[in-house]
Formats: sequence, C-alpha cells, structure tokens
Amino acid sequence: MADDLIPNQIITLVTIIGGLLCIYGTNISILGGILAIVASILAAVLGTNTLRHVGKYSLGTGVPSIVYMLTAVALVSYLTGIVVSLYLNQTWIFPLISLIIAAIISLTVSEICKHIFNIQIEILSKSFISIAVASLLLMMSMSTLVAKSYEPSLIIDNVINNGMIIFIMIASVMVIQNPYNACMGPNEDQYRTLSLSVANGFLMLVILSAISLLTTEYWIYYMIISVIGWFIFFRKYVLYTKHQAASIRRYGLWPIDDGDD
Amino acid sequence: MLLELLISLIIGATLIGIGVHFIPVGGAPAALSTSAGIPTGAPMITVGMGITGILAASSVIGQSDLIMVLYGAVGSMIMISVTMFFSNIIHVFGVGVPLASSNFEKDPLTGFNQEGYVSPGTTGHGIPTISFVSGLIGAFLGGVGGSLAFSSIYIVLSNNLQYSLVVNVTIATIFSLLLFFIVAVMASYNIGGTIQGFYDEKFRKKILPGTVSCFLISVILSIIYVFVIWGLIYG
Repeated sequence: MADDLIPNQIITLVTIIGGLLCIYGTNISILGGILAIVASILAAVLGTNTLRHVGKYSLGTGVPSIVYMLTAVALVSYLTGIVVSLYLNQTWIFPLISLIIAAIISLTVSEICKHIFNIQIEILSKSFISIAVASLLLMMSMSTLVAKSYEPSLIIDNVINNGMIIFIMIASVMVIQNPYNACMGPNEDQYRTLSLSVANGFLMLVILSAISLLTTEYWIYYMIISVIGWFIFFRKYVLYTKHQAASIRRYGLWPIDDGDD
Repeated sequence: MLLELLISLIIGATLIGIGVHFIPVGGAPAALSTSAGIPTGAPMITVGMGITGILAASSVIGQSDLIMVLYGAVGSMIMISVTMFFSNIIHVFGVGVPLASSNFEKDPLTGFNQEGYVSPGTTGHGIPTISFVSGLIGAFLGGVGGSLAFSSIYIVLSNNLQYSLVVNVTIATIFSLLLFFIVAVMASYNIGGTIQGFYDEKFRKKILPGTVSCFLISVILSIIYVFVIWGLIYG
C-alpha cells in the first residue's frame, strides 16, 4: 500500500465535527438536505479510510463482516439514542448520545475479540470505534435526508416504523465496505479507494433522494446534486484506475476463433 | 415482563451463537472446490438463515409462542438445507468432484471411508452427510434463537404499545435481525476460517470460548434492548 496522502487523524476529526454540525443543521428548509448529503459523504470517507487500515490484517473472516457487525452496533446505538432523547425530551442530545453509545459498544466488542479470541491487532479498538462512528453518522445523515429533520419523533415516523432503516443499514454497509473490497491488493491507493467510496455514497443518495419525495418538495435538487456528484467521482475513479494500471488494453467482444492469427 | 424479555433475549442470542458453530462453513476455498463446506462466509449464511427464520415466524403472527418459535426454526432449516443441497448438486454434477472431507476419515452416519476421494492438495469438497446433519442442527438452534427473540419482543410490544400490527412486527424484526448480525460475526471470528460441523476436531476446541463470548455479548445487547423497549413503552 502506498503512503497515505491524507492522514487518518485529520479525516476523523473533520468527519466527527463536520458531520455532527451538518446533522444539527438539517432542520433548515432547503439547505438541510444538502448538509445531510455533505455529512454522509464525510462519513463514507471516514469509514472506508479506517477499513483500509484494519482490513490489511486477517481477522479470520472476510472484510465485509467487520462492517456488517459494526453497522449493526451503530444501529443499536442509534435506536438507543432515539429512546434516550425522547425520554429526556431533549432533541439535540440524540446525535451526540448515539455517538457515545456506539463508541462504548464497539469498544466492548473489540475487548472481547482481544481477550477471548486472542486477536492481536494494536489498532483493533481504535478502528472498531471509528468504523462504528462512521456508519452511525452515515445512517443518521441518510435518515435525516429522508425525514427532513434530526428530530427523533419524525425519524421514528418516517424511517423506523416503515422499516426503511434496514434498507439504509444495508446501503451504508455497501458504501463503506464495497470500495475497499474492490480495490484491495498490493498497490491499493488512498485516492482511488476513497473516490470509489464517495461515488458509491452518491449512488445511494440518488435512491434516498428519490425516496425523500414523500416528505420534501426539494427532492429533485438533492437528486440532481447526487447524480452530478456520482458522475464526477466515478469519472475520477476511472481516471485513477487508468493512471495506476500497468498497461491498458482494449478487447472487443468474445473472439470467434481461438485468437491464434 | 421485562425480566422475562431479558432472559429470553439472552437465551436466544446465545443459541444463535452456538448454532453458527454447527454450520459447515467453507468460505472462499469451498467456492473453488478446494475445501469442504458451504461456499460462503459464516456471517452471510447466518444472516440469510436468520432472515428466513424471522420471515417464517412472522407469517404465523398471532398464534401461540411455541408455534412461532417452531415455525422460525423450520424456516431456517429449510433455507439451509436447500442451500446445502444445491451446493452439493453443483459440486457433483457441475464441477465433478465427490463429496468428501479430509477432516475426518470415516463418516459416522454412513460408514463411508472417504480418504481416497479427497483430491491431493485440497481438504475436501462438497458437504458430506455428517456435515449436512450438523448444518441442520445449527439452523435449528439459530432459528429457535432468532424467533425466540422475535416473538418475545413482539409480544411485549403488542401488549404495551398502541401501534398497529405492522409497526410492531417491523420493530421486532429490526431488533432480532441486529442480534443475528452482531452475534454471527462474533462467532465467525471465533471459528476463524473453515469448520466441518460437530464431528470436526476444531469444533471441540472452539465451542467453549465461542459460547462464553456469545453469552457475554448477548448479555450486553439484551440489557440495551430491554432499556430501549422500556423507553419505547414508558418514555
């Protein structure tokens, strides 16, 4: 793996602070959805960048399973955060408390992995916490795009009671784990993997902005932004792939003969 | 009521964790016919099994607890047996390899001596009879665990909340699916690669730490779940 051009600490800091601020701003009428899109892109970048570091080690099973488990942990803490904020009657507490609970549960899981299964990886706890927080922010910003607000009662009505949260969960697993699984190997590169991650995030946001037509009249703007973003970043990914490939050869369709002549 | 919910959630999640160890998992090598077992990772097959079990359990909603739990178990068993059967058909008629594993010499059920049938350089291919039976036992345990969690959450919600039936089923499904996601991945970290069911040597080494860790994580998750459900009811 080549050296990282953007250090992980900066990505973590920018994502957690920027993502939380963006989620708190989703109540603003038309800007809210754009802020939710920004937050989900930041969270996708953090998740994939952390997975790049922990995915190099062998955990005994495939790379996707880490993200599956930690996204489920994040969803548990998401539901807990909703209940806590409804019980205390404080809406602003919901994103913050979910973040803290996600960190606590993923720390517990990583301690069990360390001490009972004897998985000796130094960055295990840090990576688990980071992936759980990233997938929590991703799911939260995706559901605020649909619900048009971060208020727990609106999220319960628009996202949880109709079961859409399971779709959002699978979408966020796909956004975080697919790019690393597609690009892993000896010459895996940060820019290439992260551009695919952002492209995947925009692709999922196209679907979610189509779903948000039920709750907001600005859905068409969000959809246009997502399609343009997907186009730009997928093009970037293809350019990086061509740039870093040893050589590129084009073949047509299946050859009719064996190709001897 | 909430104490009963806590106990049944802990039992259910631990049963899921034990059930994962019974399933013969081959991983990516099995997809290339160089190892025996189901050709996918343990988390994927367990999540598929859990979804089918919960779907079967939710199809008899309103019946007694026992029927819901048994339906879930049977649904999981059907899913996993169909998967193993068609995997075997593809291995035998498509790839052209006999069903054998090098982890044990003689199949205890059929008495078939499989040593000569394992290709050199591989650890077996397909799913032999004893691994098939072991997979069925695993699916039974996992299905009982998942539908126990599902039906207990559903009953508590439907007795205490004013939501409609669909919403109650949705919330119970979300919670019980998340149990599968977390516990199955923990169990597969414990297995670490491939396993050939309860007749395998590896099973005896792995089952005790696996049960302990699944019990620990299920206690933590169940306490959080009970707290969330308490908050939904009284919050």
